[in-house]
Amino acid sequence: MSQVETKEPVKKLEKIFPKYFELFTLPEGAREESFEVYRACRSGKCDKASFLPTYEEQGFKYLAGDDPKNPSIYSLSTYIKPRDVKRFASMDSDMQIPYKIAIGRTEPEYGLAQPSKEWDPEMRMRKSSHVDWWLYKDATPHEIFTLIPDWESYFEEFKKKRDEKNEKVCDNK
Amino acid sequence: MKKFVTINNYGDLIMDKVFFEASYPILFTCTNSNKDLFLCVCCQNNKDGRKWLLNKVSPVTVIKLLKDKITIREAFLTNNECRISIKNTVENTEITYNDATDWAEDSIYLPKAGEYMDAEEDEFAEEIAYYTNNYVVSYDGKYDKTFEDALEFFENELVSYANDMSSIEEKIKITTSKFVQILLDVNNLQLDKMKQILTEYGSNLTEEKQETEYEAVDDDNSDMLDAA
Repeated sequence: MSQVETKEPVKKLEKIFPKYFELFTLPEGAREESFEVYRACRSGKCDKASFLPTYEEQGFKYLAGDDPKNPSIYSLSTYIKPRDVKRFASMDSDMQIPYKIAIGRTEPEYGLAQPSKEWDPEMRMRKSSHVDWWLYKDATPHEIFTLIPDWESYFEEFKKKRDEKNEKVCDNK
Repeated sequence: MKKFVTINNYGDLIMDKVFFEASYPILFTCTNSNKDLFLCVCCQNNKDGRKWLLNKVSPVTVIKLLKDKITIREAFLTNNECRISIKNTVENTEITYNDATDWAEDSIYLPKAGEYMDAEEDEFAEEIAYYTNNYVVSYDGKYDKTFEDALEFFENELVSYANDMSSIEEKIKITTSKFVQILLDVNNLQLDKMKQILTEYGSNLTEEKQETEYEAVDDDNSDMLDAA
């Protein structure tokens, strides 16, 4: 489950962020690190529309509750844990059934990444697996992510393995 | 503590606990100065704006949600007392109450049917302890005190049931502690459910008792017939 092959070769990009990155300061820990993550594809496809940072999804506007200085608004939201991407899909009205979930890696060539709980003191308290991925201007993450063909089965399999692991831990106690 | 919204009859709602988030909080609770509790979901976040659904809930509902006893959707539908929709665009914020579309059975804005939190072991242990120990327990509007007080209330209720059933107590060998065990087994502090269990238990026993009496009568009759 953890080995992911990218669809397209990773492109060499100029490491320039979009202009709106002037609006905030990147967390110090934002780094070139390859995390395996999941992305919920709202368009139903693994395409550019499904891989927009929150600020772009919102039409380059702030909505109620947004703090313009919050770095997370400008990142592409991804999750390390399948349970979290599933929660997102189950509560976001733009997500259709069957869920279209893509898996891939936060490719360093395409931007800087950091688990949100590392820099956000509020998230640190919780067990969120949310990862912010601040993309360079010409990044095309949808080209290197792969749509999971049958998310339901994938998640069931994941849960089964998780439960088995928990049972083993209990047995060893 | 961050103010979330001001609504009719309930005043300012302050964000309480966040259970799930993306770049913005998605599933969270709010509370007000009266300690009313609201479950909130951000169900839409796109270029058309941001939308939330809120419903007044009991802490027990929140605990059930976090323990995967009920689906996320069910948690929003347990109560129809105060169903709120908030739609925010750049231009304005619109608050509607009991919106027929948003809260309809086939609503696309409610969390999808059949979906649980699928919590990991102890993932929400802290939040469950918070609602169990510190929050207000409301039970059918009859009771509104701390959780410890509520437990005392339930114990008193249980004793009362035990007394009511004293006539058959000896036969069923059930004690207050057994009642408490039943209560813990159902694991949701639902007195109605417990009443139902006890009533069914009692009626089964009554039937058994009646059957025994009929048998006794039959025996008596057979004696009489024999004598005749």
